[in-house]
Amino acid sequence: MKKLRYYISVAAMFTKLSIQSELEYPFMLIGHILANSIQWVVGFATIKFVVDQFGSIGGWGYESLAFLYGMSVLSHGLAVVFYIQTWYMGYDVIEGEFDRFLLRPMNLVFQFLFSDFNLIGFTDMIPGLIVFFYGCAKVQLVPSLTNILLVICTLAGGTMIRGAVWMFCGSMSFWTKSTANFTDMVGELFERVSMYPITIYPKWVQAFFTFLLPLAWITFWPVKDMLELGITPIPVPLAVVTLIVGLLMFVGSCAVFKAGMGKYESAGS
Amino acid sequence: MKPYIFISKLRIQTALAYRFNVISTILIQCLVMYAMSCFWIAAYNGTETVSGVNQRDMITYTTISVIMGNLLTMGVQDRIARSVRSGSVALDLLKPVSIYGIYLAEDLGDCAAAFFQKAIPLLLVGTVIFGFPAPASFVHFLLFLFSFAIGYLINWILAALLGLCAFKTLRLGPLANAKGFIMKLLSGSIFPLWFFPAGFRRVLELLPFMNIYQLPLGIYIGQYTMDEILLRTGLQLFWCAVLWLLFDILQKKMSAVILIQGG
Amino acid sequence: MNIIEVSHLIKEYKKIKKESGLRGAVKNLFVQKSETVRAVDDISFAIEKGNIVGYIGPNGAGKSTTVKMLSGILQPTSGEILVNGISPQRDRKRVVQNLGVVFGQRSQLNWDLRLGETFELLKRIYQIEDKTYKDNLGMLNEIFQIDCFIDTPVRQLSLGQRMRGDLVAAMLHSPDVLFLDEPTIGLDVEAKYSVRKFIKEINQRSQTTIILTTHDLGDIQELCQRVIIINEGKIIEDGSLDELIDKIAPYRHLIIDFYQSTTVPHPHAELISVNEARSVYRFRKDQITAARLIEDISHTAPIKEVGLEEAKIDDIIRTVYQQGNVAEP
Repeated sequence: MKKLRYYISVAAMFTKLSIQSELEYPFMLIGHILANSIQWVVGFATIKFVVDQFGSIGGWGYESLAFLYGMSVLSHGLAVVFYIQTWYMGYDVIEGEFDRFLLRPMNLVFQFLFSDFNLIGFTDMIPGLIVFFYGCAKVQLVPSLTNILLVICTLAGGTMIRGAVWMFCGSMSFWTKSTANFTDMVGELFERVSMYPITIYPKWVQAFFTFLLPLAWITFWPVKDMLELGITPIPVPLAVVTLIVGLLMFVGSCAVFKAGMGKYESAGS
Repeated sequence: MKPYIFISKLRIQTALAYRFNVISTILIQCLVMYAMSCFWIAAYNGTETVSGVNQRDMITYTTISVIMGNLLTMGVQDRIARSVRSGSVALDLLKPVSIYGIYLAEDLGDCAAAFFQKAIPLLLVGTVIFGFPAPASFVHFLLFLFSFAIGYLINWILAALLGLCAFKTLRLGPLANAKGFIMKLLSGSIFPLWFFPAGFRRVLELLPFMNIYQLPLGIYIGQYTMDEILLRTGLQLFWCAVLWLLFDILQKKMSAVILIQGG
Repeated sequence: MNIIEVSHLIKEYKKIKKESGLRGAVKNLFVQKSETVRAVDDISFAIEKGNIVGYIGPNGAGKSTTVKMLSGILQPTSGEILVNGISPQRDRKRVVQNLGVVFGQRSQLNWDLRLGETFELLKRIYQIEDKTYKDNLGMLNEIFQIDCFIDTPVRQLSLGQRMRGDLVAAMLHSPDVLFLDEPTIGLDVEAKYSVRKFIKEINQRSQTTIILTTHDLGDIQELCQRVIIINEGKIIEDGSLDELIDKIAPYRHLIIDFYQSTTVPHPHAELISVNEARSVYRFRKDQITAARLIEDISHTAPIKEVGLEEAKIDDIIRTVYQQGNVAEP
């Protein structure tokens, strides 16, 4: 209990200081708000244009797609808030930036996850919320307590799945000792699997993204479940499965990170 | 010319050194390419043509677009930003070769390495899964190559222009974001502009971005008539010249500022 | 009491051998050869509580690698380290709770924040009680005079101020052991002088054990009771600076200006140069004292001026490094 309080107090301090240092560059923040808002709104518009031409994609009309898209941008934004440091792990490994964590008497994974709280991620949330509420209205989702809980489960699970994948990719640098950055490419993959219904892919691809690399859980399965109430092969809502998958991925990514730290060689000689 | 060629060669060697990087890139890019092709198959869902393009052409378009994306990676904007931030820019400008020439040589070296490491494997995988993404005709293919080369230059100059912004802002942050998003959505790399509503499309056709992906790809699949190709390639060259001029003026201005301040 | 004990410490690195040229690069894509390099090669030593020990050696000798293993950043390939009786590899958290580390080349302060804010963070991380924190900060402020820039963003501090900030940050939780990796690198003469003074003061006030790696031999001369010299991963000398000087460079030079050109030999000193009225003698400290030598010579010819030259520490260290290289070609 005392230990928990200790970790929470440090996490709060980390967060406070991260926010403070970001506010040192207010124009950056404003720039990101503008760039990201336009990006996601226009991004959704282009999908809508294309879907309008074809009528529907994989059996999904643009109303459901808006809901899916909004959900995806929201968990993307949250993942950026909590996991942005995973993008620079290659650099951290090469430059010996993990020395600092190793010199402090705290859990390494904790320090890594909480030392960088990224306000900029919230700039993704603004357009995310716009498209999300637009989608909610279009699919006529009732704001009932159940639905709110399902959305929260999905967002939490989705954020953890995204973060875990980034962390796996970043941790590779411990072994490869290269600064190679897969964030952009993995991001594209996330988009393809979380912003479009995965029913457009052959069955084996769907199975791959459901069971092996569980990206389909970020948005697709829980959203499908929420939109077509009641038709589930298992007795729990799929949003809860997302949360469980997210937690498992989280634990896995922490283990990989820890194993990687064992391989860490600092910088120089 | 010699130092530039040497630099390009060096870059090819460096790129080859990262085996893991290459293999993972190919894997992820294959997945992305595959996913996009599935998207079009699902969208067409048996329909013959939409907006004058059939499903086969769209898959070809997607395959070539993903390959092009791997050839069009630009290091120049980060290079400029980094050298401005570290202050080494003043030294760079004093070197007896053009620093921008060196950046271009580096990027061309990366492009050459990517051709062998990524483009060819992706083309092979694409061919195995969806059949060979053949161009409309051999003439179209040659025109595509020309158009792609000009598109490459436009893309490079845009990246370099963005890099020059670092002289004022030090960090590129949101600017780089915005550029990435424009490249993705407004250049035709994912969705060709002909699927967009007429008004939106006309605006995008006035901007230089569609010259990077949409124009070469449209030529490749034979979406444009010869007259249109001629006209649009002319416009593309015009954009290239205008952007180059702009870059040259700005670059000289920035250099002058730096050399007076002493970095 | 030994606060640090190191025995048979070895650290090996795998280095990938790459073939050169474009053809080599293509070949490397398929086959890669690696070779093992020993950065630290069977090192043992022990350090007593309250000592300041200089850990020196040429670039790439293995200094930083050793310090990083001592502080738990790196895993040794083999060998044992005990800091305060605890192994940093087995119980990292407990060791670093009692450890302060400063890397001269890299700051642990947050670039965008005020100095004081980093201290607040460290207070939480090390769970320092309010009272202890206040007392420590007060004492450290007395030594380092950081009050005048504690509210300045770190990016605006001078290098000397930043180093003082880093030293305070490392000392806030009153560690028993302090590792300083090139703490005076890049500092101007004034800042160097004050940092040395501060280090001395910390050591005296709190009996902090300090290990110092440096290329600045002035640091060693000013601060260290003991010097460990490492080259190519091996310890080649270990002892007090005086002992080292006696061992490596037992000679001193006596310069005598006579009133006129003359040559005066002496049985216990070698006359190494005679230039008109100036003669330079080389003698061993253990054979004859300078006073005796001057007296003896003055019996033969009247002396106008004398000067005594100690062996230069830079030269001594260079001699040691070169010996190391000769020993292992």
